[in-house]
Amino acid sequence: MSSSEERITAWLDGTLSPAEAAQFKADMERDPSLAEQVKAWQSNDALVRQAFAAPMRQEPDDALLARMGLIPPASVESPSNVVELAARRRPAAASNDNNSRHWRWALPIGGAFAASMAFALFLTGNPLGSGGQGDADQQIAAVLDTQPSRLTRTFPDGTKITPTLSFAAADGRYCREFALSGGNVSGGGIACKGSSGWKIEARSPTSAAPAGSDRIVTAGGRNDDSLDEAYARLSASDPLSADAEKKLIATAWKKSSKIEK
Amino acid sequence: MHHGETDLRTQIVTLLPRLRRFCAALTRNGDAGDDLCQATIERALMRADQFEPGTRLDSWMFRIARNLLIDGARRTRTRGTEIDIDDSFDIVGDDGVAIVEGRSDLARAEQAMARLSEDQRALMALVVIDGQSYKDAAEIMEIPIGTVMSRLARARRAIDQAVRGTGQ
Repeated sequence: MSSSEERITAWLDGTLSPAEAAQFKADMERDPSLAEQVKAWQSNDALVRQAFAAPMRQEPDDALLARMGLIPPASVESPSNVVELAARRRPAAASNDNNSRHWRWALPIGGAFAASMAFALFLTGNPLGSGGQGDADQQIAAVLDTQPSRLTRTFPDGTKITPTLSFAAADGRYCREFALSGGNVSGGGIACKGSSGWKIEARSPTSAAPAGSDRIVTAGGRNDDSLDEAYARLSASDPLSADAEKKLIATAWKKSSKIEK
Repeated sequence: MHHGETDLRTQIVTLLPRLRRFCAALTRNGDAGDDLCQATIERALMRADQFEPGTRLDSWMFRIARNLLIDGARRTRTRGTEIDIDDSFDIVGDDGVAIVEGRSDLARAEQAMARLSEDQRALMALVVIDGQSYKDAAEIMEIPIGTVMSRLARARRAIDQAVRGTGQ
């Protein structure tokens, strides 16, 4: 162990005295290789911090608190605001008549969510990005990766994200439908996990868009057919079971040639 | 002390993101970290009467986490769920954020941490990741403060070698 390395460490951790720090600075100016080493170690520190930063971005929600034994698991199993609406939607008549493969599971409809069936906005901080398709944002990606269907995660800004169901696409990717509410978002969409992360395949319609915006505007209360095109295009499997989901959460929804049932 | 325990739970919830990050850094991301974190919380709640109000909860729980890891007394099988290093970036602790560029750098940083000795890794987790002072880190680790700097220097050298691909 050289004392030079200890000095760099003390410098990086801010434990040198003012006089020592001034001396160290002067040494770095005189010695480019020392300066380079300091820079490299500093960037390594930043990488290490970033590599383990994910827990800091995840707001403790019920599922996490239950996982940590801080609340009883029962309170997670039966979210009180979930109303089952079996087979809420069928595929658009135009897609095909093989209804069974497009049946969806119940969609969580709580009071607040139902009230916003006249789907609102995508005003600011639009978590789906500006286009219809693209990479899912960090919040959505984090929820889709780790959250079982029909459990809502609430973020500090009030955004609520609920994976609704999961299915396999014909190309082997796993996909999830999700609903957004709270904060300044609502609506939902379908995302599939590819090699570079979650990609938005479709968005559900929104309304109450500001005048002159290019957002889709639909009448309130209509059924949300816009996702049906994506279900048809992806040749969606039937919804995956909770057990299959659990396995996929553990394996990061890695694309597979053999489909979980 | 029912009130005390409720209060402790509330404080643990506040601490949870940092505690999970600490456990992830000790064990690698993913289930192993969360298993350790869960075991730590279980132990802390069981021994709530040993926590002195007014002292630092983070130090107390970080010490518990480390002791659980070292003596293997935790009930959950943290070690048993360890996975191959090459797979370690595909598991859940990676929150799926599409960091396409930089992803391999992060994977290398994670692997570099995994290759450190246990005490070096814990010091990196405490000082570099969590921002603890040398003095607090020394207390949590129950080592003399004088050894913190030299161990950190060694850890940083090893990490630099691993990130550059020249180590080991």
